[in-house]
Amino acid sequence: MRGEEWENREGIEEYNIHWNWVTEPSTSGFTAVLRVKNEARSLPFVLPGVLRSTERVILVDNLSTDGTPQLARKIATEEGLEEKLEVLSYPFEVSRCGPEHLATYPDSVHSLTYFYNWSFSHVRTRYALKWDGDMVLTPQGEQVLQDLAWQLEGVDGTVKIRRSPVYVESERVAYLDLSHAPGELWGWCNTFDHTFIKGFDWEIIKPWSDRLLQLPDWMCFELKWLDQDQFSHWSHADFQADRHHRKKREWELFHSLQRDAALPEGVVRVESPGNVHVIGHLRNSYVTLRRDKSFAPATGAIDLPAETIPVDGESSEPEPQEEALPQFKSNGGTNNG
Amino acid sequence: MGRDLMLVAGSGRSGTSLFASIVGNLGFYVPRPQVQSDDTNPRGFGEPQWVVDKHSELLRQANVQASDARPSAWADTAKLCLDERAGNEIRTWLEEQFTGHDQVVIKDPRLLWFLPLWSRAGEELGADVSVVTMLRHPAEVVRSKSYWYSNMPLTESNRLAGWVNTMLFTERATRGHRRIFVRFEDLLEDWTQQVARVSAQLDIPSLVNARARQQAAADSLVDRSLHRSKAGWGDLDVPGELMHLAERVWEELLKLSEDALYGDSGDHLDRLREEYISYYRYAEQVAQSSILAENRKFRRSRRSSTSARPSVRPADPMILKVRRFVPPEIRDRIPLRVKRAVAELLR
Repeated sequence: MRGEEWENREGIEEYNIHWNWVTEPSTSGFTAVLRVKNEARSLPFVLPGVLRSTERVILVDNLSTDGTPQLARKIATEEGLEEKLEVLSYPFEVSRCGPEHLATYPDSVHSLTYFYNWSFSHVRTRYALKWDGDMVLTPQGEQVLQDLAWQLEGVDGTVKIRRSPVYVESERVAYLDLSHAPGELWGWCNTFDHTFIKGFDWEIIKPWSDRLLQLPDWMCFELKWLDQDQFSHWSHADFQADRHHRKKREWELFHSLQRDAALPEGVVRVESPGNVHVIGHLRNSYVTLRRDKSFAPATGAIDLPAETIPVDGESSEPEPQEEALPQFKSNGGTNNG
Repeated sequence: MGRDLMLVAGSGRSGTSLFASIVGNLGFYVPRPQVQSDDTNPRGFGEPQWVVDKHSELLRQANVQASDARPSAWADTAKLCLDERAGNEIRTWLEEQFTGHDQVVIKDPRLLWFLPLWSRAGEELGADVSVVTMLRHPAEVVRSKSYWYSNMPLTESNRLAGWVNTMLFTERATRGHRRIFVRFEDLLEDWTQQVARVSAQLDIPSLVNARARQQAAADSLVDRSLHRSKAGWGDLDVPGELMHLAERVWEELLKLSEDALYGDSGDHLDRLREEYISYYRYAEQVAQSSILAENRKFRRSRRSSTSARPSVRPADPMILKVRRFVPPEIRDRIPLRVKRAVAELLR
């Protein structure tokens, strides 16, 4: 374990950053870090899966007014996993993404960058996993996370996760956006190589020199409640197609679905059977839904520019050349050396 | 009766073939065609040829050897465990095997690299998945491999390190799942006791309810002379530290075979994995000069072999334009030689 202390420009010692980097080989697995503000509504669908599939969960509450931290403790107790949960409070107003973030110094307690570094500095396991308070793991996704804990022990790995938004209309009805979601870095080794730096619009994790593992698109999905503001962490809504293409599509879909317009292209309506909550229903059927290539999305009413729907693998880079790998001679079935 | 998928894991030369063949005579289906028996295993391998071929292909793709000693190799096969195409192929094949058979047993010494893939496929097909891990003393495994696989250029030290790596991570991969550890020696001594234990612990009563004829067929497979490679540490040329580590891993695994609920084993084995990863990392660092020298040699030979070929041309704008019209899932399925031919036509 290696530590380092970072100070903030406000001189609030209590909120200095004390890193707990793991520098030796360790089997201690993943710690999920959730930075949340008023996520009481989503937490019952989010937290149990994360608690079941990681070694430890750190929930950092940022000025919630809906009882989020209390609910988190209650859920963990109900799951019998209260020992895994650590609830922390970060009592500073944090700049919203976009211009507000740009105008804030990265070593200020009001900076997203500082907030993230402070939150992740509490991780003591070998791997850190960024998780949002609205990201729901599928049962298969839970198993994948459990497996990664040992599969990545021998490397300094990083993990990319793709998640699609699910717009929840009611307890029975939701809309799933099946258009391609690009992978983002969500998991990394808890070492000094991985800290957050300031980007133009938000914080950025440094992913230097690691093995990258892209997880399948059926791991998890992200909740958007149609009767609630989902963009309050942004200081503007003028999303640019090139810089904020994901956010721009979310913004347009969100408002289209709120207006009750025709189903946009790439979006599927999901209705749960009986008394099952639509999120629970989606959790169990999500893998099948994502794999169902025969699904034909309804023709859309939204006229989205082409670049708002990134195409998988779209790149000007040439494809990597296939190389002949060293092969071992085999005499048949069991010759495994 | 519901579906049962039994995965037989463990290092090669540890009795995995014998165990799979026994349960294959007690109601479980061993998918066909199977790998033909030979001198190394005269009573048969109990291995479906398709599984062996698929695993070999995946291991080549991951650049991992069947008994790879690198702890980092698990991250390489993890990618393939999450690969949609590999998952689909295994699920489709497995579904075919379950047609007309409720109980299927899969065995291949390479299987341990892909346990998450098989578990997921089995669960998605509604099967109860269980893992049987065969145990044999590492000195005997290394000795047996050195004898039977003498054509492979692996040292005893590397074989032993491979045993430590694969057994430590197989234990970790199966933790929390329906599993049992069976000692090869115990199976040879009295297979009925071991199969009854498997039946009770994994809740598969059909195994002990097999008919007399089936039991007799299973019994005919067991031969004490199978246990022909008796060896101790004194017979091997391996470093003391690795030998000591392997011995401690063996002792912990034995405890799991004797008492499924042995609680301390997880912690102890976690510490041993950490120790092994650290040991291997330093071994790599010590041998860095040899690795660099081999790399230089490889690069030189590659340069000389490619010098005759035309040099790589920059991507043509026309090719890039056409490429964008082909959806990625289709693009992935087009063989490289076809892509090259199309690229030539477009230039």
